[in-house]
Amino acid sequence: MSSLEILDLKTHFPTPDGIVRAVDTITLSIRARETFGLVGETGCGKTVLGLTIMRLLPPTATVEGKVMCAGRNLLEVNEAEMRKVRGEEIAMILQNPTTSLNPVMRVGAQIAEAIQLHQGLNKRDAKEKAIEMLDAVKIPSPSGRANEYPHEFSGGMKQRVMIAMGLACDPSLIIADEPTKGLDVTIKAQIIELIKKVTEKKAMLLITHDLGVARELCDRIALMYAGELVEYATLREIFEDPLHPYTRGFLGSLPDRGLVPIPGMTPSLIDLPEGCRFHPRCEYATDVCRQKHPEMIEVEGGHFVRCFHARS
Amino acid sequence: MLEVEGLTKYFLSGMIRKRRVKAVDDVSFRIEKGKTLGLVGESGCGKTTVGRLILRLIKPTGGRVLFDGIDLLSLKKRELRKIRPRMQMIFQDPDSSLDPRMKIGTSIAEPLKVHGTIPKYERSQKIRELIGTVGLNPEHINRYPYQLSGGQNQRVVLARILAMNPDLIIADEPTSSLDVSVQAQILNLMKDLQREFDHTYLFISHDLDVVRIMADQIAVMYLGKLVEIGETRDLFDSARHPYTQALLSAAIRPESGAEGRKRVLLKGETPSPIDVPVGCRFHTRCPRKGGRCVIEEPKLVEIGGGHRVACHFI
Repeated sequence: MSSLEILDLKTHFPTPDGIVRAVDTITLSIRARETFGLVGETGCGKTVLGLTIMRLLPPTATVEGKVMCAGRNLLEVNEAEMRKVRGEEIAMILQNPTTSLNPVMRVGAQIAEAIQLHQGLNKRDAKEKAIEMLDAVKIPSPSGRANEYPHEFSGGMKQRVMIAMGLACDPSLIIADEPTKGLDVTIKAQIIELIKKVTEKKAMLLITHDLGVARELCDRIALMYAGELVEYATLREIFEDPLHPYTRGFLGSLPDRGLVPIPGMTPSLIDLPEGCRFHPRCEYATDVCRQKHPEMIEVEGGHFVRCFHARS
Repeated sequence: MLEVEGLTKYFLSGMIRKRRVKAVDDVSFRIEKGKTLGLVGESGCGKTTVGRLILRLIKPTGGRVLFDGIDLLSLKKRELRKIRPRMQMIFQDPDSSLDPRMKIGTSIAEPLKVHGTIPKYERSQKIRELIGTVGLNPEHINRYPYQLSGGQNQRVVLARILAMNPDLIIADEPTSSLDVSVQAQILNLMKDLQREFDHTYLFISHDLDVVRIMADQIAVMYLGKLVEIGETRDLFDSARHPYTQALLSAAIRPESGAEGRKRVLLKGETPSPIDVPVGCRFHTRCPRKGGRCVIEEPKLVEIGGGHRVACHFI
């Protein structure tokens, strides 16, 4: 049973300089109760993918393809229904809780607002539930903290509030966009343990640039480069038998794997290279890579890679 | 080369009831020429303040900073100005370190102009040379910072620093705003430059894995104080302070998977530097806390090979 299925999804932004191909023909499915990691560097389009699923893009964006959830295409449902999907079926935990929380509203009230709206509880019950949620994310003395404002919370505590808010209406899928960004190492470890616990029975799409975090939480991982997926497989296969040169380069550039950089830099999403998008930085590139765009191929059961030279 | 002794900085906070914030409290260390000291700690522990105090960008409350035998804190303004080119700082965010309205070439020329180290007719030659040293192309000279990537801009910052021919470079989280593959490029470049020019680095970071690669010596800070300092290998192989141990185990590494690894999860968060706990500062979060820790503050004690630890249980 898959919780979410994405088929040939394209999100493009027309600009005066050309079309920004932020998400380009992405296909993937997230199974029920699994944590799926979408890993990539700045500007590869991973956040746009999350926003596309939630339909939170600016109106200038053009979206093609399908996002299937509970038997319907989310890209085609009307706005009223979409509003119900957000929060009840799919919740998104955004990066940077400081700007995601309303600074002039008490924390408890912010969580209660969503509960009141989605579950039709009255004000007092919703507040009660909000306090329960704060307790569930291990915020000490939750009934007192519910009456405080976001600025009275530390970064780690604010992230806990964001998680509480995401879980409030018991969605079946959570999209977490860099949930540990900007947190100190000891706090990051606490938040990871928390996420691990609260999402045990839920499906999660974890968007991150940090393979360490992905390794802690994910069952399967997809690597994204310049708007498209280049490899996806189980956690173990990505770490032990990476096939795409980008995945290998990404692993090799980590400080604890020898700090070998990938030469050059990520191409602009407006001006993508011909052929394979990674070829200008790839040491294995041959003529075919410069001319033809590789398709995603399945090399082993469930291990997909977009490279002409994988396993040859 | 650089010797810091009992460096202390208290800030006053609050409008009516002034309270002392102990940002840096009695910090001492020394770095030999051509070596790197990694200063590690979480946000708000005072590591950046240490860097700024050494350069005298802010005035310390107490302590001494000896740079090549010169007591920096006793220098007059004019003398300080003369010595400043020899000490440079590189910051976290390259985009805000460069003037957005200044072309790259002009940015690099500025320090040369201000300090008049090189005659005017040789300047453009020198800029080309510097641009090459940091791995950029001459075509970048006429670009603006917004036309370059974060990694390239950090190279420009390095070129500006090299223009001064410094002895000491204080690097404050120089790669934490960069992607990993680019981070590796910049760190390698910094290591190459150090080898070539014999720079002394104070490398400030929260990332233990990065510090491990860059530093010969590591100092760990918590709430304004050093809790442990030692050779990089000693610290990674036999960290003695519970905070260092927790930091090492909390660092989330792709290499050590979730399987078969015990993580020391610290309770709670770092207390505010206004209300520093009595006794050992770490006792509120320490898994090993004993009665003595609540009353008496531990001193940094040498346990051999320059490895010093501030904990009652050593």
